Amino acid sequence: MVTDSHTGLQRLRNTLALRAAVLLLSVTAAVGFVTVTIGGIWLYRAEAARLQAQLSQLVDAVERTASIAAFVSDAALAKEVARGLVGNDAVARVILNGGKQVLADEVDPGLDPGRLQAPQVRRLHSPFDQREVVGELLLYPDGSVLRDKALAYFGSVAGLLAFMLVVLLVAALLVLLRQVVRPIKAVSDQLHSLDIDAEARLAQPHKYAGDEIGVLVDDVNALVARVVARDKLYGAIVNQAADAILLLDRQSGAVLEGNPAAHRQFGYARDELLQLTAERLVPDFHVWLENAALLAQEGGHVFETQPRRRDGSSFDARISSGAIRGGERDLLVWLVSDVTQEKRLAEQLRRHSDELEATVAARTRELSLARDSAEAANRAKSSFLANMSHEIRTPLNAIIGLTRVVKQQLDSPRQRSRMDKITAAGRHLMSIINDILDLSKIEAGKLELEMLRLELEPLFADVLCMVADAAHEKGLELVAELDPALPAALCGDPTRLRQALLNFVNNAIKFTDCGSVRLRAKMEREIPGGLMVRLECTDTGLGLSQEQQAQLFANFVQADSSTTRKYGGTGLGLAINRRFAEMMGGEIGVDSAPGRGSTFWMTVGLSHLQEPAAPSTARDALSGQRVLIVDDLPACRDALATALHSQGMEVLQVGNIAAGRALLASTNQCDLVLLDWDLPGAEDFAAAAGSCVLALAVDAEAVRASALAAGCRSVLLKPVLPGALVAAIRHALFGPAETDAVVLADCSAESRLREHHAGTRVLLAEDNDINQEVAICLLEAVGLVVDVAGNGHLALERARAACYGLILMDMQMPELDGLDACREIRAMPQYRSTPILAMTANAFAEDRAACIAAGMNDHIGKPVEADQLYVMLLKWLQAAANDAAEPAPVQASDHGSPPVAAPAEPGGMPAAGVDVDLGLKHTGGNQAFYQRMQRRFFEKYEHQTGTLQALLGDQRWDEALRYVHGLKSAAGYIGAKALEELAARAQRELKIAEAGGPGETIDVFAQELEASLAQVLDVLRAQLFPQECPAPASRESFDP
Amino acid sequence: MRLRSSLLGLILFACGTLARAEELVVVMAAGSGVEQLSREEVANIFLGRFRQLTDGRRALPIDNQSFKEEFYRKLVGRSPAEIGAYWAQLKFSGRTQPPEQEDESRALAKVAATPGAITYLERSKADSRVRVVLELGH
Repeated sequence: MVTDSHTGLQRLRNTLALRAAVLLLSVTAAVGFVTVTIGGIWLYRAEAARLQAQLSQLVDAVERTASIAAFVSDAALAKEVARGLVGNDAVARVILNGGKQVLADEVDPGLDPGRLQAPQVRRLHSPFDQREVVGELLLYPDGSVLRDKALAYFGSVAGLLAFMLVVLLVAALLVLLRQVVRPIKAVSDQLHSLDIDAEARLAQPHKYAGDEIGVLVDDVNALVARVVARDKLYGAIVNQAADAILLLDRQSGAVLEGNPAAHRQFGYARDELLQLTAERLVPDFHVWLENAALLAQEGGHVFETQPRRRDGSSFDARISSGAIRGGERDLLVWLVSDVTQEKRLAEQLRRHSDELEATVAARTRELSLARDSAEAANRAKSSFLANMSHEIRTPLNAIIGLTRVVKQQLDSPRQRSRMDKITAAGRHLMSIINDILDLSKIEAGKLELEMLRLELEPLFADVLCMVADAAHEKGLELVAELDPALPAALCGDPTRLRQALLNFVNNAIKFTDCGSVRLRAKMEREIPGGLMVRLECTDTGLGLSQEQQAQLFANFVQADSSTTRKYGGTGLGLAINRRFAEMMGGEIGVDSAPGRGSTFWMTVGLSHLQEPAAPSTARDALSGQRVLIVDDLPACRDALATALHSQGMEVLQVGNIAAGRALLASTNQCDLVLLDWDLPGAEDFAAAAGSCVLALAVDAEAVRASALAAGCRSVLLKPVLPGALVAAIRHALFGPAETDAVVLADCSAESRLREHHAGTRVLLAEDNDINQEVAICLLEAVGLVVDVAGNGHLALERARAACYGLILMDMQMPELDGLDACREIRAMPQYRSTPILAMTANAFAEDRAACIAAGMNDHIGKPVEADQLYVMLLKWLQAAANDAAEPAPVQASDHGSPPVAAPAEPGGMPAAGVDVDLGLKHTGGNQAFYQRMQRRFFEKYEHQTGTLQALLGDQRWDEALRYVHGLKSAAGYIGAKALEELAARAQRELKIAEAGGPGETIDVFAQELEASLAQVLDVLRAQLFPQECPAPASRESFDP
Repeated sequence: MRLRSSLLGLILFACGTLARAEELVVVMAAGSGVEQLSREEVANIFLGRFRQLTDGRRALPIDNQSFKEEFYRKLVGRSPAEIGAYWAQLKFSGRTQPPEQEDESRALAKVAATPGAITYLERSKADSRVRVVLELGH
């Protein structure tokens, strides 16, 4: 056994057993050495202590004798003592010192003097006095005793240790060799000769199954099984791969391995392939190798080349090259894909795509041509639409206008009726064209809503004015009702709203043969930033069935196709209204039943204006007044009553004259009677009524004479709008005594134009002869003096030569178009604020915007409708008249700001006695206008302080009343509220005084009034003439 | 208070007792030339340490057997037995000899006759032949 293990040791110098044994020995030796050393040190210490104790005992024993020897300096005695001490083993030398001399010095004869250790010293005291030191005893221990003992100890222990180590080493070697090294060697021998195949397995070493070595063998077996499985898997992958896989030596290029696909692809058998170098397969192998080194150090790269087969033919291949390290060698793995087919396909694909590109380019060209032509066509369509509207409207304009002119000149009723039919046909045609254009604009999304100041009452008045004739002709009564809860002005698109209302009302009139048409505005609800307003048009016409209602608001649909012929129309009106309602955030609908009339309604969202709502004007004056309404139409009575209630008036209503008479007889206390003049017996009733009577008539002009003759205060044109009604009542109750029905009662723009603006010079810039003629006729018909300019240049010349009150300007004119001409004219100082109105067939919003931008005031669509033209002319001529009456402010505003837009300097300042905001509201927010009003007030009343008192002094009640009345309204206009109220009270007092009542207080009121007037004048002076010293003026104002 | 008075009484009693005892004095021959010796010089002479007198003569100590015990107690605070043991060790191998032992009268006579001889006796016994070189007190 021992020899066996010795040969084992020699053979395996680096075996596990030896290493373990050496480790064991080293550890044991180290531990043993440390233990022995610690033991030795401890032993030595103990021995040394024992030696010291022994010496101490010796000294103790001889101390007394030694001290006596020292005391009497007896050397003999000392020597005796020393000699005795040295006889001891542990003592090497003894010295006994007396006080001054050495009494004895004895040395152990065998002592090596060099090895003397430090002595133990004992002081010797006198036997009779412990304090007196008489000498000392020095005892040198003998170190050799200790040394000998230590040496003996170490020698025995070290020997024992060495023996134990040797025994341990041998035992460990034997155990390790037998139990570990040999079985492991057996396993490793098996592993060396193990073939990796499915059955590869290590035999379990005898007697070791289950212990660590057995487990190791099991684990190795499991690993081998896994490796075999994986090997098989990868082998399968490699062998089944369609692409050739080659393993190459990177240095030499030798082929080390190749899969079956590689044999197939290159045409070599396996043995032949393994003889080859890569150079043979891929001629430019080294180039790629260098590239590979350059391209990718760590990973692989892909390249394409043309490898050669065995038969010399070559093919296109894509090679994925990857560098791997196999043992000592750098290896390359090549994955060679045959891409010949792929290349061919790619080539084909490329060719196809080239063709396709060419085709696409060709198509694109065609398409862009098509698109261009489509765009051109669209543009052509747009311009065609614009042109057609122009082209169609122009002759229609001529037809309608000239028909009207001719009709005015004709006497024969038959011919006149034919002319009317021509007009009607023309209007119809016009409305169809307008509807179609509107709808197409809406459909194209081109219609944009405007956000302008929108006053419902004037809007209603406009609409009703336009349809008044048609309604009158059919004998229909129009009723207008405005919800008092609605503010006077909102923000919205007045043009579209007017159009929508017109559509409703026209429809209603068209389908109603008798009865009434009621137009109504109601507050629906509040919406963020504004109000939802419900606009209703109720007629007493045919009515509609459910089925008819269902399809009413679709394009080109009328309630009954059979009605189309009877009633005409395109059926677009409601469709357009529906769109408008939707655009304004609302809805449209109809409530109807056949035979019971219809109510068409739409809701529209209107925003609040930025300025706060104007407070209702002096309501207290009318509050509590009792009014009797005599009208046969309940709707009309309701509308009037609503308006009057909103003023706080007390309303009684009756449906016929007889009832009215009875009521008057019973109450006899009505302040005012509103009488439908069309009722039979109205004249008699009015004559007998006794109180203030206002006549209401559909044709105010016709009945005015008879009504006034019958004692009516004035005649109001039906339908009466709340504002006009209240104004008329105010005028009738508190106004001057004489009747003044015209302004308030007659809303006909035509007649008002004729009355107020006849003789005004107007410039008409229009190139089309027919249009010229129509316009001239229409303008001259209301007494305006017309100059014509055929183009923009002529218009400029004319404008320079003369001074016109108003200019009508066609937008499209030769040489200089309307916009440029307008800009030029506006540049002239005298035309800075003259109204310039555009006339154009271009009804689009952007045209309108362009007009306003060029400095025009407003816009009239062509063909020019007489009523519309007159309304517009009246509006702007009135504004201009206000300007013309006050040239000074225009001059004043020349200093700094433009006339209209910029607020004049004092504006907005809250002034004592004058509420600027209120005044501005009365002038529609127009600063310049308000300033003019102020100036006018100032100039009129500047020198009239004291007038009232003078008049009162003379008892001229009538004049005083008129003066106070005038002052009241004037003060109201400029926002002098306190003055207005004082004037109103004065007016009442005056009335009492006039009737012979107690007139004492009137003087007090007059004084107050005069003082307030003076205050207002001061304020106005300060605002209007800020640079002047106000002192003399104020003194003057107190000067009666 | 009682403690203090009793302590005072004790001290007075002790003084009275001592005062009754005769004073012991060390004497030498009147003609010896030695005027006075210190207590240390006397102790060195009697214990055999130094026996050389200032004039160079050897001192010869003689124990007065009648007062030996009292003398050594007063001189070095040792009992006669201790002094005996001391001398026994010195006699064993040393050269120094203990004082001669005489009775009082002989000792006095020897001192008076021998220059350098030294002994101790009661003061009342010291006559004109001797001179007191050290008083040991009561």
